[in-house]
Amino acid sequence: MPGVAPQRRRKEKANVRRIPLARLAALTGLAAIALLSSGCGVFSSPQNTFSPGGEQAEDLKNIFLLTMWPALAILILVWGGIVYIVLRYRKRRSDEALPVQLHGNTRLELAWTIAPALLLAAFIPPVVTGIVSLEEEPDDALVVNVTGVQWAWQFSYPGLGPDGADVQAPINELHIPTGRKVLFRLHSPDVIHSFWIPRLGGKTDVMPGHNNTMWLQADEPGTYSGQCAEFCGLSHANMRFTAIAESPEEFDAWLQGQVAAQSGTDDGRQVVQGD
Amino acid sequence: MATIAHPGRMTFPQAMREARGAAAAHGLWSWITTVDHKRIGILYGVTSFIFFLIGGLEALLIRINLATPETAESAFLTPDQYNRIFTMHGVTMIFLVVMPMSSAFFNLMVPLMIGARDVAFPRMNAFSYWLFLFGGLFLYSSFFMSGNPFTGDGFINGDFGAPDGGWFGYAPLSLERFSSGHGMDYYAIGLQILGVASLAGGFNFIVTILNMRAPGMSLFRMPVFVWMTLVTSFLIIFAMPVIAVALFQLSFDRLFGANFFNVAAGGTPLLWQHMFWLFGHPEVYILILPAFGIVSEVLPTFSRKPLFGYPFVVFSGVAIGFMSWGVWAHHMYTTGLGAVANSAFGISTILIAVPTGVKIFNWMGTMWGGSLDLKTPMWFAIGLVAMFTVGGLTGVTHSIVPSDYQQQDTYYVVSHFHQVLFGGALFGLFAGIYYWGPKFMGRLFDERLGQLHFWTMLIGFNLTFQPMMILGLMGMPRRIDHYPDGYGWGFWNAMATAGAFLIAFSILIFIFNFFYSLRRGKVAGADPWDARTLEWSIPSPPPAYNFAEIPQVHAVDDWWHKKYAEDPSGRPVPVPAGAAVEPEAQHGEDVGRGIHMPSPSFMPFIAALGMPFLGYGLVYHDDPWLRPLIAVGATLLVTGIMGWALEPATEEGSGAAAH
Amino acid sequence: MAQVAHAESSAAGHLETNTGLDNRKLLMWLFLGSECLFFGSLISAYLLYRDRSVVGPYPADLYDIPFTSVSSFILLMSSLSMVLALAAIQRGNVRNMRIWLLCTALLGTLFIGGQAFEFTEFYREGLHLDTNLFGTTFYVLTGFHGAHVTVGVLILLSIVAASFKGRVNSEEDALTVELAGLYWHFVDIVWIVIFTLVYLVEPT
Repeated sequence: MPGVAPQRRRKEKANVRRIPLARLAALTGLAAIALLSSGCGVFSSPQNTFSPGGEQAEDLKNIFLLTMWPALAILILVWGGIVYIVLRYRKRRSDEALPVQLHGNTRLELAWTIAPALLLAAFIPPVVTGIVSLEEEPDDALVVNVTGVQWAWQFSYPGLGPDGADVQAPINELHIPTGRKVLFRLHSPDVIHSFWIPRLGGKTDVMPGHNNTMWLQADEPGTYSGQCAEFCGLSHANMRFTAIAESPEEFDAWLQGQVAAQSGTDDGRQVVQGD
Repeated sequence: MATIAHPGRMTFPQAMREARGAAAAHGLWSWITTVDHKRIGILYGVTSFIFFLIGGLEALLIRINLATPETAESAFLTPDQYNRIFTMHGVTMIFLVVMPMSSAFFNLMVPLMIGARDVAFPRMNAFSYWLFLFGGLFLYSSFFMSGNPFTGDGFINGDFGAPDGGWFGYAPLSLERFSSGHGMDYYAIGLQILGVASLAGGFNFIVTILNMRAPGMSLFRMPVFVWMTLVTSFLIIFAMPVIAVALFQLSFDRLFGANFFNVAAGGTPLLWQHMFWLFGHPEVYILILPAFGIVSEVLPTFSRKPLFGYPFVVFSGVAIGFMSWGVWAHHMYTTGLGAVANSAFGISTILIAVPTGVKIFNWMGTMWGGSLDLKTPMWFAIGLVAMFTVGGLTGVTHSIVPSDYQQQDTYYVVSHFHQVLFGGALFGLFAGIYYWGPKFMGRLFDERLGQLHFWTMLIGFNLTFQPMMILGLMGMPRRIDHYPDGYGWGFWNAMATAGAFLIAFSILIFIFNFFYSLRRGKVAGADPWDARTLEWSIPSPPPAYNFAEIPQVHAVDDWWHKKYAEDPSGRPVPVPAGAAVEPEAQHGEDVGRGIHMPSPSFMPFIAALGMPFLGYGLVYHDDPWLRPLIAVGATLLVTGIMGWALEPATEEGSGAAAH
Repeated sequence: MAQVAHAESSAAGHLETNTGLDNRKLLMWLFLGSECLFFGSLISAYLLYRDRSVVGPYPADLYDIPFTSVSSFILLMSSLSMVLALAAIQRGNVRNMRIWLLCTALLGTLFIGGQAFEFTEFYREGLHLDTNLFGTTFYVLTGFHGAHVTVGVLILLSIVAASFKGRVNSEEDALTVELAGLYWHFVDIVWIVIFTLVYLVEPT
């Protein structure tokens, strides 16, 4: 700093060195490692958005990371800066003189206005392309009608039964084939819900009077956990469902089984009454 | 405004009134009738702090419920109780804590900082406070309004009557069909009352700031806190009418069978969401900008150097104010607005990060090269800069629309806005309490207890809200009252609950510190921090008339420049003794005699009292015995306003009250 | 509002303000700015829902444009008499001010009467608040406007009453009338917008 007496600056440096920075860092690192290893499994969840089971979830995870890393870098910069400033410029007993009264530096301020603006502008293209690609309705997708009611999910497969009838899935149970896009038509007869299978992709609100669509694709066969994400009343927390992704053959077999069960009993499996 | 009357010309009734005024200067009546901005500020502060404790208690209940995996049956609260508690937690913290606590600082500080003797409309100011108090009490009375309100049996049996539709009150869930009982009626009408309170305050502070600055204080010599008050007030007066209409619509739907949000009649739930967030996003900045203002005062004072880039900080605040109107739909990415709308709002949300970032850098520039006096207010200000940065950066990740499809309505969002509203607004407000508190207490807070408060709160805060970010990414949705085993969320939730209790502990330290320092604290004196702005040029606590002589302002940080001159190298040197202004010296025995302040009035209280009566009458308008409450409320309101209009604003004959 | 503002800072009128605008006048402008958002929201809701009613009666079944045109004209004329009232008090002519204020209040009352008649007609023809979206949005929008006119009439009458009590009786008090006038003109302009967008722009 201009105007800071060399004597004072030397003293400050000495002070900085006296802080056991290395030890502090080592301790923090150790603590972090201990936490991660001891809590082995604390990051695993059937709804973890970071263990994607399909293309879309993978994309969403990547675009999140794309912003997370620069954000983390800026955070470390700011926090590091704050720690540095506090250590370097804290007032000591011996300090009598007041610091130079610097009022600003237009060029510097313009720089830290424009630089973040440019960095942020760089996010715009991936955001827009991401939105558009998610918005596009896939052509040869399997269509599933989703009805969210207080507080259950009903899935049906339009036109896949005999004579173009709908095939109903058991309540709160969704079956989808792997490797194929599935288009969900979302419908609610009561309040707003939100359809979400975290490991397969983003969520879309299920609005009464306003039918949204969304698509997902499961690449890995398996069981995926889904949950209503929009607060919908008393039993919102219980509005969960299971999505079972299986090979196309297995899926077809399941579908046939459902058709047989429905025609056999015809008990009006349609628990959910649309409006 | 007061004018100076010649003591010799005092009329007899006037002298009588003055004697009576002196006798009534203390006691409950004096508080009910006060129009002194400082007393109103204190009322605002104390009331909002009590609501803060209640809202905090609700937060603890929420955290207890979520600490471990449970079933709906085994959880501490029933789902119904949980929904009411989290709704009231949100409503309380936003409308009854952060907004009024900011108002407390507007009231306490703005007239002092601009060199005025009071606000432009002192009685409207009192009206604003009483509306806030009665609105808050009205909302909270809903807890007891299930079962028999006179015995409170409903409440005692755990049947809370409070609103249960979330602070955001999304229709159609908030309609009578899905939310029976009167909870959401209290929500709609209670927020309406609080909205009027905010509006009255907003008008008052804009007029005060634009019209009542001391001579020489141009807009660009105003302290940044005053600037942020101005921007916030403009946001209030333009945002509040929008939510007022939305709340009217909800009330009409619930109470009188209107169809605004009735899907069967062709209505759309999106109407509510657009209106709510068109208000709701400016509201976010209404909550945070005052804290930004506080920090922009605290950092320079304790860095012992001026704010780095004053114009940038001011302009970025104004820019945020404007841009906050163009980002509301980022609360609605998943509602199916379409690619165009989502892209547009994504981009505007990305861009609003720029002026926010500017502030962070300017604050760091302020500290850079300073001589940091690390007292409690400074720690809280630094805490805000550090913690708000997390909130800002997580905010940027929300503007990335596709990844928001994952994070929307998860604990990631909960984490984000607590970083902003707790790490930002509350840290800033605490910085303000420790910084300006001594001005009104006359005594300094205990420094060790203050710093203990800061560090426990900082640790507790991070322990509570950082795990929530992980929980959100691990797929935990918001507003669920329980979660079963097997989701892997137990560990982080337990950590968050532990953190919440640590925060609660830190608040206990603060309360103890407050009462301890009020009695035993070091005497503050006029200018304990060797600070920069006008409020430190007058005694602590300030006299009723604030300034015996209205100051002449020559520069930003005028008070500092009265104390220090700069040598050629830019380093300040104390102005030679004798020339320096001794703050206390100018207030001798007789100073201030003959300055006539606005007369106390109970009319604002009466007028405001009418509102909750109107509210009860409307909520229970089906009941022929309770319906007359509407008439009672209207009578009180009209009586209060007529009385207010007819009584003179200041003492008769003082020359000021011409009619 | 104007009444409240009136006495609130009467003291400030004697002091220089930074902007040169009287505190009360600035307050009134801000209040009207805020009101723009209020009516803007109500009108937006009406327009958003204009074609969405699923059952009748629809606007085309009910609107009596000639009738509403007349009542709109009456309200428009009240703005003229308001201007004359202000001009009178600015010249210190209290008697004329009273006459014109009463005239304004009378025209305002006529307008309210017209609205009451219209509401009754619509109600009898089956349009209730809960009938359909049209009923909901129409009654709430025009009802809030009518409430504003009513408050305006009360303010005007209060000023006339005050002038007999020696409160508003010289050109120094013209500001009070001016504030009431600002409010009155604003409410009038809002009606012009409502009349155009709600009545005249042909609903499909």
